[in-house]
Amino acid sequence: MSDQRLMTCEQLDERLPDWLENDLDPTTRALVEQHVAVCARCTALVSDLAFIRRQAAALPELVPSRDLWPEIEARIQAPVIPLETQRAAQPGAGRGRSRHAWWLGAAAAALVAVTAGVTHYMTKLGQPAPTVAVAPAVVRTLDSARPVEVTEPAASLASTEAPRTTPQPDERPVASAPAPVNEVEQSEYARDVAQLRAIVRERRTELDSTTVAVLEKNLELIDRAIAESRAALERDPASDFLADQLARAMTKKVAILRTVALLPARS
Amino acid sequence: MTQLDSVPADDVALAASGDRRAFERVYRANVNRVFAVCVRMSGDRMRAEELTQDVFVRVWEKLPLFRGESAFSTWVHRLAVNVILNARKAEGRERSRREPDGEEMLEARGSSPHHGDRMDLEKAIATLPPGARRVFVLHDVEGYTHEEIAEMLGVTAGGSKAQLHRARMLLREALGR
Repeated sequence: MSDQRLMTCEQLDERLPDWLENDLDPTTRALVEQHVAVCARCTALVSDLAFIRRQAAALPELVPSRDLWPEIEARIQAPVIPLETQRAAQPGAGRGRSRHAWWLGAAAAALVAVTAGVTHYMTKLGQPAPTVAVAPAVVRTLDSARPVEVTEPAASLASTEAPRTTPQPDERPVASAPAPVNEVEQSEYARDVAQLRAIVRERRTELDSTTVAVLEKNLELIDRAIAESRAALERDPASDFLADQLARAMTKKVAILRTVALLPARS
Repeated sequence: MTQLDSVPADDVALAASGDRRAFERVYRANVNRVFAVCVRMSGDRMRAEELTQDVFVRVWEKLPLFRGESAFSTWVHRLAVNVILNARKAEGRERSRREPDGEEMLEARGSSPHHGDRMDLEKAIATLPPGARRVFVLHDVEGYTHEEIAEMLGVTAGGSKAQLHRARMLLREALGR
Protein backbone atom coordinates (compact mmCIF):
# COMPACT_ATOMS: atom_id res chain seq x y z
CA MET A 1 0.00 0.00 0.00
CA SER A 2 1.37 3.41 -0.88
CA ASP A 3 -1.51 5.50 0.45
CA GLN A 4 0.03 8.33 2.48
CA ARG A 5 -3.17 9.40 4.21
CA LEU A 6 -3.57 8.64 7.88
CA MET A 7 -4.99 5.16 8.32
CA THR A 8 -8.47 4.68 9.80
CA CYS A 9 -9.21 2.23 12.64
CA GLU A 10 -11.00 -0.07 10.19
CA GLN A 11 -7.98 -0.07 7.89
CA LEU A 12 -5.75 -0.78 10.82
CA ASP A 13 -7.94 -3.71 11.87
CA GLU A 14 -7.50 -5.21 8.40
CA ARG A 15 -3.74 -4.88 8.49
CA LEU A 16 -3.17 -5.70 12.11
CA PRO A 17 -2.62 -9.49 11.61
CA ASP A 18 0.10 -8.83 9.04
CA TRP A 19 1.61 -6.05 11.14
CA LEU A 20 1.84 -8.33 14.16
CA GLU A 21 3.59 -10.94 12.00
CA ASN A 22 5.99 -8.38 10.49
CA ASP A 23 4.54 -9.10 7.08
CA LEU A 24 3.84 -5.53 5.94
CA ASP A 25 5.87 -3.52 3.49
CA PRO A 26 7.75 -0.61 5.12
CA THR A 27 5.31 2.05 3.90
CA THR A 28 2.21 0.34 5.23
CA ARG A 29 4.01 -0.56 8.40
CA ALA A 30 4.83 3.10 8.96
CA LEU A 31 1.19 4.04 8.41
CA VAL A 32 0.01 1.49 10.94
CA GLU A 33 2.49 2.70 13.51
CA GLN A 34 1.60 6.30 12.83
CA HIS A 35 -2.06 5.51 13.47
CA VAL A 36 -1.36 3.51 16.61
CA ALA A 37 0.68 6.39 18.00
CA VAL A 38 -2.27 8.78 17.88
CA CYS A 39 -5.31 6.49 18.41
CA ALA A 40 -6.17 5.46 21.98
CA ARG A 41 -8.45 2.64 20.83
CA CYS A 42 -5.83 1.07 18.59
CA THR A 43 -3.03 1.63 21.11
CA ALA A 44 -5.04 -0.36 23.66
CA LEU A 45 -5.78 -3.08 21.12
CA VAL A 46 -2.15 -3.52 20.12
CA SER A 47 -1.06 -3.44 23.75
CA ASP A 48 -3.61 -6.10 24.71
CA LEU A 49 -2.60 -8.42 21.88
CA ALA A 50 1.05 -8.03 22.78
CA PHE A 51 0.17 -8.87 26.39
CA ILE A 52 -1.64 -12.03 25.28
CA ARG A 53 1.33 -13.10 23.16
CA ARG A 54 3.72 -12.60 26.05
CA GLN A 55 1.47 -14.44 28.46
CA ALA A 56 1.03 -17.33 26.03
CA ALA A 57 4.75 -17.74 25.47
CA ALA A 58 5.28 -17.86 29.23
CA LEU A 59 2.60 -20.42 30.07
CA PRO A 60 4.02 -23.08 32.39
CA GLU A 61 4.19 -26.83 32.01
CA LEU A 62 1.23 -28.70 33.46
CA VAL A 63 1.16 -31.76 35.68
CA PRO A 64 -1.29 -34.63 35.07
CA SER A 65 -3.64 -35.39 37.96
CA ARG A 66 -2.15 -38.89 38.28
CA ASP A 67 0.91 -40.87 37.34
CA LEU A 68 0.33 -42.03 33.76
CA TRP A 69 3.39 -44.27 33.64
CA PRO A 70 1.79 -47.54 34.87
CA GLU A 71 -0.74 -47.45 32.02
CA ILE A 72 1.91 -46.54 29.47
CA GLU A 73 4.17 -49.30 30.74
CA ALA A 74 1.37 -51.82 30.41
CA ARG A 75 0.94 -50.78 26.80
CA ILE A 76 4.58 -51.12 25.87
CA GLN A 77 5.39 -54.46 27.44
CA ALA A 78 7.95 -56.01 25.10
CA PRO A 79 10.65 -57.84 27.02
CA VAL A 80 13.17 -58.00 24.22
CA ILE A 81 16.27 -56.44 25.69
CA PRO A 82 16.03 -58.03 29.12
CA LEU A 83 16.46 -61.41 27.40
CA GLU A 84 19.89 -60.36 26.22
CA THR A 85 20.64 -59.05 29.68
CA GLN A 86 19.52 -62.34 31.18
CA ARG A 87 21.71 -64.20 28.77
CA ALA A 88 24.75 -62.23 29.80
CA ALA A 89 23.93 -62.64 33.46
CA GLN A 90 23.15 -66.34 33.28
CA PRO A 91 25.94 -68.34 34.95
CA GLY A 92 27.50 -70.62 32.40
CA ALA A 93 25.33 -69.21 29.69
CA GLY A 94 28.08 -69.19 27.14
CA ARG A 95 27.40 -68.61 23.48
CA GLY A 96 27.46 -72.29 22.61
CA ARG A 97 25.05 -73.36 25.30
CA SER A 98 22.45 -70.70 24.83
CA ARG A 99 22.84 -70.23 21.14
CA HIS A 100 19.38 -71.47 20.25
CA ALA A 101 17.69 -70.66 23.53
CA TRP A 102 18.19 -66.93 23.54
CA TRP A 103 17.13 -66.15 20.05
CA LEU A 104 14.13 -68.40 20.40
CA GLY A 105 13.34 -66.58 23.59
CA ALA A 106 13.67 -63.30 21.77
CA ALA A 107 11.41 -64.52 19.00
CA ALA A 108 8.90 -65.45 21.66
CA ALA A 109 9.25 -61.97 23.06
CA ALA A 110 8.47 -60.56 19.65
CA LEU A 111 5.26 -62.48 19.58
CA VAL A 112 4.47 -61.64 23.18
CA ALA A 113 4.93 -57.99 22.31
CA VAL A 114 2.34 -58.30 19.61
CA THR A 115 0.01 -60.14 21.95
CA ALA A 116 0.39 -57.39 24.51
CA GLY A 117 -0.48 -54.76 21.95
CA VAL A 118 -3.57 -56.60 20.84
CA THR A 119 -4.63 -57.23 24.40
CA HIS A 120 -4.36 -53.53 25.06
CA TYR A 121 -6.62 -52.62 22.18
CA MET A 122 -9.06 -55.37 23.03
CA THR A 123 -9.19 -54.19 26.62
CA LYS A 124 -9.71 -50.61 25.55
CA LEU A 125 -12.52 -51.53 23.26
CA GLY A 126 -14.08 -53.88 25.77
CA GLN A 127 -13.84 -56.79 23.35
CA PRO A 128 -12.62 -60.29 23.99
CA ALA A 129 -9.27 -61.14 22.47
CA PRO A 130 -9.63 -62.64 19.01
CA THR A 131 -8.97 -66.25 18.26
CA VAL A 132 -5.36 -66.99 17.52
CA ALA A 133 -4.85 -67.05 13.80
CA VAL A 134 -1.26 -67.70 12.91
CA ALA A 135 0.52 -71.00 13.11
CA PRO A 136 2.02 -71.14 16.58
CA ALA A 137 5.75 -71.04 17.00
CA VAL A 138 7.14 -73.55 19.46
CA VAL A 139 10.03 -72.06 21.31
CA ARG A 140 12.19 -72.76 24.30
CA THR A 141 12.86 -70.07 26.77
CA LEU A 142 16.30 -69.33 28.08
CA ASP A 143 15.58 -70.53 31.57
CA SER A 144 13.75 -73.68 30.69
CA ALA A 145 14.12 -76.50 28.24
CA ARG A 146 10.35 -76.94 28.33
CA PRO A 147 8.82 -75.98 25.02
CA VAL A 148 6.51 -73.01 25.28
CA GLU A 149 3.85 -72.53 22.68
CA VAL A 150 3.63 -68.94 21.65
CA THR A 151 0.70 -67.91 19.59
CA GLU A 152 0.33 -64.83 17.51
CA PRO A 153 -3.09 -63.22 17.24
CA ALA A 154 -2.90 -61.70 13.79
CA ALA A 155 -5.42 -58.94 13.46
CA SER A 156 -8.58 -59.98 11.73
CA LEU A 157 -7.02 -62.87 9.92
CA ALA A 158 -9.04 -65.65 11.39
CA SER A 159 -11.06 -64.06 14.07
CA THR A 160 -14.21 -66.00 14.69
CA GLU A 161 -15.79 -63.00 16.28
CA ALA A 162 -18.73 -61.55 14.41
CA PRO A 163 -17.94 -58.02 13.24
CA ARG A 164 -19.76 -55.32 15.15
CA THR A 165 -20.56 -52.24 13.15
CA THR A 166 -22.39 -50.40 15.91
CA PRO A 167 -20.11 -48.90 18.55
CA GLN A 168 -21.07 -49.78 22.10
CA PRO A 169 -21.81 -46.95 24.52
CA ASP A 170 -18.70 -47.54 26.56
CA GLU A 171 -16.37 -47.80 23.60
CA ARG A 172 -13.69 -45.20 23.16
CA PRO A 173 -13.18 -43.94 19.65
CA VAL A 174 -10.33 -45.52 17.73
CA ALA A 175 -8.51 -42.22 18.04
CA SER A 176 -7.52 -43.00 21.59
CA ALA A 177 -5.21 -45.69 20.30
CA PRO A 178 -2.00 -44.72 18.53
CA ALA A 179 -3.29 -46.22 15.36
CA PRO A 180 -2.61 -45.11 11.80
CA VAL A 181 -6.09 -44.31 10.59
CA ASN A 182 -5.85 -41.20 8.46
CA GLU A 183 -3.80 -39.91 5.56
CA VAL A 184 -1.14 -38.15 7.58
CA GLU A 185 -0.73 -41.10 9.88
CA GLN A 186 -0.75 -43.55 7.00
CA SER A 187 2.00 -41.62 5.29
CA GLU A 188 4.02 -41.70 8.51
CA TYR A 189 3.21 -45.35 8.83
CA ALA A 190 4.48 -46.11 5.34
CA ARG A 191 7.70 -44.30 6.14
CA ASP A 192 8.13 -46.19 9.42
CA VAL A 193 7.48 -49.52 7.77
CA ALA A 194 9.96 -48.77 4.99
CA GLN A 195 12.64 -47.77 7.49
CA LEU A 196 12.03 -50.76 9.71
CA ARG A 197 11.97 -53.08 6.73
CA ALA A 198 15.34 -51.72 5.67
CA ILE A 199 16.74 -52.40 9.14
CA VAL A 200 15.31 -55.92 9.13
CA ARG A 201 16.68 -56.54 5.63
CA GLU A 202 20.13 -55.46 6.75
CA ARG A 203 19.93 -57.73 9.78
CA ARG A 204 18.54 -60.72 7.91
CA THR A 205 21.83 -62.60 7.77
CA GLU A 206 22.40 -62.01 11.49
CA LEU A 207 19.14 -63.66 12.46
CA ASP A 208 18.25 -67.31 12.54
CA SER A 209 16.63 -68.37 9.29
CA THR A 210 13.76 -70.19 11.05
CA THR A 211 12.93 -67.10 13.06
CA VAL A 212 13.01 -65.00 9.94
CA ALA A 213 10.78 -67.47 8.11
CA VAL A 214 8.17 -67.52 10.91
CA LEU A 215 8.11 -63.77 11.22
CA GLU A 216 7.95 -63.23 7.48
CA LYS A 217 5.02 -65.60 7.28
CA ASN A 218 3.24 -63.61 9.97
CA LEU A 219 4.01 -60.37 8.19
CA GLU A 220 2.60 -61.81 4.99
CA LEU A 221 -0.64 -62.68 6.80
CA ILE A 222 -0.85 -59.23 8.34
CA ASP A 223 -0.22 -57.63 4.94
CA ARG A 224 -3.10 -59.66 3.57
CA ALA A 225 -5.32 -58.51 6.45
CA ILE A 226 -4.33 -54.91 5.77
CA ALA A 227 -5.14 -55.27 2.08
CA GLU A 228 -8.50 -56.86 2.84
CA SER A 229 -9.38 -54.19 5.39
CA ARG A 230 -8.40 -51.43 2.98
CA ALA A 231 -10.55 -52.93 0.23
CA ALA A 232 -13.49 -53.34 2.59
CA LEU A 233 -13.07 -49.76 3.82
CA GLU A 234 -13.21 -48.49 0.26
CA ARG A 235 -16.57 -50.18 -0.07
CA ASP A 236 -17.78 -48.97 3.34
CA PRO A 237 -15.74 -45.89 4.36
CA ALA A 238 -18.01 -45.08 7.32
CA SER A 239 -17.43 -48.37 9.11
CA ASP A 240 -15.72 -47.85 12.46
CA PHE A 241 -15.18 -51.56 12.73
CA LEU A 242 -13.25 -51.76 9.48
CA ALA A 243 -11.21 -48.65 10.28
CA ASP A 244 -10.39 -50.18 13.64
CA GLN A 245 -9.40 -53.51 12.09
CA LEU A 246 -7.14 -51.75 9.62
CA ALA A 247 -5.54 -49.66 12.35
CA ARG A 248 -4.90 -52.73 14.48
CA ALA A 249 -3.30 -54.67 11.66
CA MET A 250 -1.09 -51.74 10.70
CA THR A 251 -0.04 -51.10 14.29
CA LYS A 252 0.75 -54.77 14.74
CA LYS A 253 2.90 -54.85 11.65
CA VAL A 254 5.01 -52.00 12.97
CA ALA A 255 5.25 -53.74 16.35
CA ILE A 256 6.54 -56.94 14.75
CA LEU A 257 9.03 -55.16 12.52
CA ARG A 258 10.24 -53.10 15.44
CA THR A 259 10.76 -56.16 17.57
CA VAL A 260 12.58 -58.01 14.80
CA ALA A 261 14.79 -54.97 14.31
CA LEU A 262 15.71 -55.27 17.98
CA LEU A 263 16.25 -59.03 18.10
CA PRO A 264 19.70 -60.06 19.30
CA ALA A 265 21.98 -61.26 16.53
CA ARG A 266 22.65 -64.96 16.05
CA SER A 267 26.15 -65.55 17.26
CA MET B 1 8.96 -22.16 22.32
CA THR B 2 9.81 -23.17 25.84
CA GLN B 3 12.28 -25.97 26.29
CA LEU B 4 11.45 -29.54 27.15
CA ASP B 5 13.25 -31.08 30.06
CA SER B 6 16.58 -32.38 28.98
CA VAL B 7 16.96 -36.14 28.62
CA PRO B 8 20.36 -37.81 28.88
CA ALA B 9 21.40 -39.16 25.48
CA ASP B 10 22.22 -42.48 27.14
CA ASP B 11 18.63 -42.86 28.29
CA VAL B 12 17.35 -42.17 24.79
CA ALA B 13 19.70 -44.77 23.31
CA LEU B 14 18.84 -47.33 25.98
CA ALA B 15 15.13 -46.72 25.54
CA ALA B 16 15.49 -47.05 21.77
CA SER B 17 17.03 -50.47 22.30
CA GLY B 18 14.06 -51.56 24.37
CA ASP B 19 15.05 -50.63 27.94
CA ARG B 20 11.80 -49.75 29.65
CA ARG B 21 13.44 -48.32 32.77
CA ALA B 22 15.35 -45.87 30.61
CA PHE B 23 12.14 -45.09 28.78
CA GLU B 24 10.44 -44.35 32.09
CA ARG B 25 13.14 -41.74 32.76
CA VAL B 26 12.56 -40.30 29.29
CA TYR B 27 8.85 -40.20 30.08
CA ARG B 28 9.32 -38.48 33.44
CA ALA B 29 11.60 -35.87 31.94
CA ASN B 30 9.06 -34.96 29.28
CA VAL B 31 5.61 -35.75 30.60
CA ASN B 32 4.67 -32.32 31.94
CA ARG B 33 5.61 -30.60 28.73
CA VAL B 34 3.75 -33.13 26.61
CA PHE B 35 0.75 -33.03 28.93
CA ALA B 36 0.65 -29.25 28.70
CA VAL B 37 0.44 -29.25 24.92
CA CYS B 38 -2.19 -32.00 25.07
CA VAL B 39 -4.32 -29.97 27.51
CA ARG B 40 -4.07 -26.78 25.52
CA MET B 41 -4.66 -28.36 22.15
CA SER B 42 -7.59 -30.50 23.28
CA GLY B 43 -9.09 -28.09 25.81
CA ASP B 44 -9.85 -31.04 28.10
CA ARG B 45 -7.61 -32.30 30.91
CA MET B 46 -9.11 -35.78 31.05
CA ARG B 47 -8.71 -36.25 27.32
CA ALA B 48 -5.23 -34.79 27.60
CA GLU B 49 -4.21 -37.57 29.99
CA GLU B 50 -5.30 -40.17 27.45
CA LEU B 51 -3.54 -38.32 24.67
CA THR B 52 -0.38 -38.10 26.75
CA GLN B 53 -0.39 -41.87 27.12
CA ASP B 54 -0.89 -42.27 23.38
CA VAL B 55 1.99 -39.89 22.73
CA PHE B 56 4.43 -41.87 24.86
CA VAL B 57 3.35 -45.20 23.40
CA ARG B 58 3.99 -43.66 20.01
CA VAL B 59 7.38 -42.33 21.17
CA TRP B 60 8.26 -45.85 22.31
CA GLU B 61 7.23 -47.32 18.98
CA LYS B 62 9.17 -44.78 16.99
CA LEU B 63 12.29 -44.52 19.14
CA PRO B 64 14.31 -46.96 17.02
CA LEU B 65 13.78 -44.55 14.14
CA PHE B 66 15.09 -41.51 16.02
CA ARG B 67 18.33 -40.60 14.30
CA GLY B 68 19.25 -37.50 16.27
CA GLU B 69 18.71 -35.20 13.31
CA SER B 70 16.87 -32.84 15.64
CA ALA B 71 16.99 -32.39 19.40
CA PHE B 72 15.21 -35.26 21.11
CA SER B 73 12.86 -32.85 22.88
CA THR B 74 11.91 -31.28 19.56
CA TRP B 75 11.30 -34.70 18.07
CA VAL B 76 9.05 -35.72 20.99
CA HIS B 77 7.17 -32.47 20.83
CA ARG B 78 6.49 -32.73 17.12
CA LEU B 79 5.39 -36.31 17.55
CA ALA B 80 3.03 -35.23 20.34
CA VAL B 81 1.46 -32.60 18.12
CA ASN B 82 0.99 -35.20 15.36
CA VAL B 83 -0.70 -37.62 17.75
CA ILE B 84 -3.02 -34.87 18.99
CA LEU B 85 -3.93 -33.70 15.50
CA ASN B 86 -4.48 -37.23 14.24
CA ALA B 87 -6.71 -38.03 17.21
CA ARG B 88 -8.65 -34.87 16.54
CA LYS B 89 -9.21 -35.87 12.92
CA ALA B 90 -10.42 -39.34 13.85
CA GLU B 91 -12.69 -37.92 16.53
CA GLY B 92 -13.92 -35.31 14.08
CA ARG B 93 -15.03 -38.02 11.68
CA GLU B 94 -16.88 -39.75 14.50
CA ARG B 95 -18.44 -36.53 15.83
CA SER B 96 -19.50 -35.30 12.42
CA ARG B 97 -21.73 -38.33 12.13
CA ARG B 98 -23.39 -37.53 15.44
CA GLU B 99 -23.52 -33.81 15.95
CA PRO B 100 -22.37 -30.47 14.54
CA ASP B 101 -18.74 -29.57 15.06
CA GLY B 102 -17.99 -27.64 18.25
CA GLU B 103 -16.66 -24.81 16.18
CA GLU B 104 -19.76 -24.70 14.03
CA MET B 105 -21.90 -24.64 17.15
CA LEU B 106 -19.95 -21.73 18.55
CA GLU B 107 -20.24 -19.84 15.32
CA ALA B 108 -23.91 -20.66 14.96
CA ARG B 109 -24.48 -19.04 18.33
CA GLY B 110 -22.34 -16.11 17.22
CA SER B 111 -20.66 -16.28 20.55
CA SER B 112 -17.16 -15.75 21.76
CA PRO B 113 -15.81 -17.35 24.91
CA HIS B 114 -17.43 -16.02 28.05
CA HIS B 115 -18.52 -12.58 26.94
CA GLY B 116 -17.20 -9.98 29.31
CA ASP B 117 -15.97 -12.44 31.90
CA ARG B 118 -12.50 -11.99 33.18
CA MET B 119 -10.63 -15.25 33.34
CA ASP B 120 -7.09 -16.43 33.21
CA LEU B 121 -5.46 -17.16 29.90
CA GLU B 122 -5.36 -20.91 30.47
CA LYS B 123 -9.12 -21.12 30.92
CA ALA B 124 -9.74 -18.70 28.09
CA ILE B 125 -7.71 -20.83 25.67
CA ALA B 126 -9.88 -23.84 26.54
CA THR B 127 -12.99 -21.92 25.50
CA LEU B 128 -11.72 -20.98 22.05
CA PRO B 129 -13.26 -22.62 18.99
CA PRO B 130 -11.13 -25.70 18.16
CA GLY B 131 -9.57 -24.36 14.95
CA ALA B 132 -8.55 -21.04 16.49
CA ARG B 133 -7.33 -22.80 19.64
CA ARG B 134 -5.07 -25.17 17.75
CA VAL B 135 -3.43 -22.39 15.78
CA PHE B 136 -3.06 -20.15 18.84
CA VAL B 137 -1.44 -22.91 20.89
CA LEU B 138 0.87 -24.00 18.10
CA HIS B 139 1.95 -20.45 17.27
CA ASP B 140 1.84 -18.31 20.39
CA VAL B 141 2.42 -21.00 23.01
CA GLU B 142 4.58 -23.56 21.21
CA GLY B 143 6.37 -21.28 18.79
CA TYR B 144 5.67 -22.95 15.46
CA THR B 145 5.68 -20.78 12.33
CA HIS B 146 2.61 -20.30 10.16
CA GLU B 147 4.27 -22.39 7.46
CA GLU B 148 4.82 -25.26 9.89
CA ILE B 149 1.28 -24.96 11.21
CA ALA B 150 -0.12 -24.87 7.69
CA GLU B 151 1.67 -28.12 6.91
CA MET B 152 0.51 -29.78 10.11
CA LEU B 153 -3.11 -28.73 9.80
CA GLY B 154 -3.43 -28.95 6.03
CA VAL B 155 -4.35 -25.29 5.68
CA THR B 156 -2.63 -22.31 4.07
CA ALA B 157 -0.23 -20.07 5.96
CA GLY B 158 -2.70 -17.24 5.37
CA GLY B 159 -5.48 -19.32 6.90
CA SER B 160 -3.31 -20.02 9.91
CA LYS B 161 -2.60 -16.32 10.29
CA ALA B 162 -6.29 -15.47 10.10
CA GLN B 163 -7.18 -18.09 12.72
CA LEU B 164 -4.45 -16.79 15.00
CA HIS B 165 -5.75 -13.26 14.83
CA ARG B 166 -9.26 -14.48 15.46
CA ALA B 167 -8.04 -16.42 18.49
CA ARG B 168 -6.19 -13.45 19.91
CA MET B 169 -9.20 -11.18 19.48
CA LEU B 170 -11.49 -13.72 21.16
CA LEU B 171 -9.01 -14.11 24.00
CA ARG B 172 -8.82 -10.36 24.45
CA GLU B 173 -12.57 -10.28 24.84
CA ALA B 174 -12.59 -13.29 27.15
CA LEU B 175 -9.94 -11.75 29.33
CA GLY B 176 -12.03 -8.59 29.62
CA ARG B 177 -9.30 -6.39 28.30
